[in-house]
Amino acid sequence: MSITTGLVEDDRVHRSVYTDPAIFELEMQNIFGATWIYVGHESQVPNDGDFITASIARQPLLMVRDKGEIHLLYNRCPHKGAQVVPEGQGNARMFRCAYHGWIFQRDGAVRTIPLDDGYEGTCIGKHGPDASMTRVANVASYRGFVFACLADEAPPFQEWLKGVDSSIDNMADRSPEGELEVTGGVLRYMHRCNWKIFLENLNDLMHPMVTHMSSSGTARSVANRHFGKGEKLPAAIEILGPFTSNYEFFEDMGIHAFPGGHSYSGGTVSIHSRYSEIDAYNDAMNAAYGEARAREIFSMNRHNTIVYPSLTLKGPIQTIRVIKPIAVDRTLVESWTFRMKGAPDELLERSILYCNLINSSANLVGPDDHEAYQRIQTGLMADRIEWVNMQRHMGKEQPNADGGWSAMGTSDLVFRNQYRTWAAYMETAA
Amino acid sequence: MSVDLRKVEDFLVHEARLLDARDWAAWDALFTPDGIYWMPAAPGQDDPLRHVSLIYENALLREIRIRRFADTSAFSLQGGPRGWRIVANVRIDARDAEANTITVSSRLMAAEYQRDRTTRFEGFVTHRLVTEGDSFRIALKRVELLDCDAMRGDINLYL
Repeated sequence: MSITTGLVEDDRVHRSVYTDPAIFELEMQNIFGATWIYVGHESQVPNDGDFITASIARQPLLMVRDKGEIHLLYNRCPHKGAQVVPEGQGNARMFRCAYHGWIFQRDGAVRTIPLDDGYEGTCIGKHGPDASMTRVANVASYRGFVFACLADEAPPFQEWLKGVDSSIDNMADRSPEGELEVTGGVLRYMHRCNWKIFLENLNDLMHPMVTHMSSSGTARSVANRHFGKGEKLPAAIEILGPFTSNYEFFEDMGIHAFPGGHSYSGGTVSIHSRYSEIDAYNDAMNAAYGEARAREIFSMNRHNTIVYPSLTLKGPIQTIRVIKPIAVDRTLVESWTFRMKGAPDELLERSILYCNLINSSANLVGPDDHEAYQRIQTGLMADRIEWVNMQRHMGKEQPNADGGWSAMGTSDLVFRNQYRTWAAYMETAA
Repeated sequence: MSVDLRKVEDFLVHEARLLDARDWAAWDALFTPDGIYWMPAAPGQDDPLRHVSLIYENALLREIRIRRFADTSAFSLQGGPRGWRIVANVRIDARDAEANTITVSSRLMAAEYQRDRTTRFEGFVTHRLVTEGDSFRIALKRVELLDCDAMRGDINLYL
């Protein structure tokens, strides 16, 4: 019996899963503290000594490369608890705590303690078991995407990722060298809503034509004023326009859900599939893979992929959004862009443009989503209406070849699947 | 080329007041045809194409944003964000007589209010101005917020 028992049914969830601070704290323990969470990309620490600070479930972490290996440490001095490395990134030979000067190697092992003979025979003396920075129990990497599980026992990584590993593959395969590199900075957008409301929106294909009419619809009408039929449109219009595709388009995109709460929408077609061809890029892809394989890579065109609960990605435009829950009604969304190694800069510039237009906190698209999230957070305070409905196209899903289920694009399948996973995590005694 | 600092100050205050008055069309008309409004996402950012920005808009994107200001289905704008700007510490940093342009730096304090919430902004502003007769056109307005790389909520207005 847990505080969440009875809050999730097959076709609806209780409003308190979005509003109850006690449930949020349990989520940090039973979900973000118990399964694989995205921490960063290997390309952010390419050389020995490179480090970035990171976090999972509000806990401070440090990702560092040493002798070629990635290490993930709790960014907490074993002595008095101070964060050892302040927020940011850099390169270091070793790490020195700002409080009492304890020095740690890159792998976290203690190297020097001032006046260490005073600790002789204790657990934090130089040879004591508790004198080094603590390593995160489980770290795994897939095509450069680094995940960690804080719990001692982690789900088997490859099996956990099944169904959406193909989205990560496709994003990396779109590089002529098969490799991605984080570049171009980060946008950190604080949302006034529960993290699950943000996550649900990404594969909610009933909202774009309503929520984004004022941006995408306006972009279309402005384009019509300036450009003739068949004329090549600026990349910004190619990016903004498809958000207000009609219901049939989104229905036909299809939606796919997998064990572990993962999902993606789109398959061969998405809002990203009608961007202009870039000849130099196609040439590089054909040279690297051969035409048939290159065509096969491009034929996969997914919209949003959710690697539940922390990583969301868009392979065809090489961006990710990372979910960082802060409080029951606060969620930080970090948006990162990637360079595809071996691809012309024009591709990176299109990814950057996409993030500016869609993911910046000052853009025209994201704030209308954010408005909807805030209205949900407010609307759910109405306690006479206890349940949030998730019945659309229920029962019409079909098993797919990757061990999950598929349905028409506007199905609530993805939400039902997320909450089946959510309930399983939450009901597990910590 | 002699340009009077007082005239530059007048122009920047005129520009800020058009924004305060939400006279977006008149404000947009201050730009040259290829003029850019830029709000970088990192301090000192010099590359707008290969590094993300909070806003990087040419005439076409400004036209979309400005039309959206009047769109009743722009849900995040309901309840009408309103704002004001103070421009100070204006200096002419560089003059290019050949291109007929000057580069002007200033400091900006601004606030945006909507539905019981006020957001305050402080920024370093650079204008690249083309002299045109007795006045100027904006070739570039770059607003670098003091906390441009911080996590933040929505910015709904041009600053």
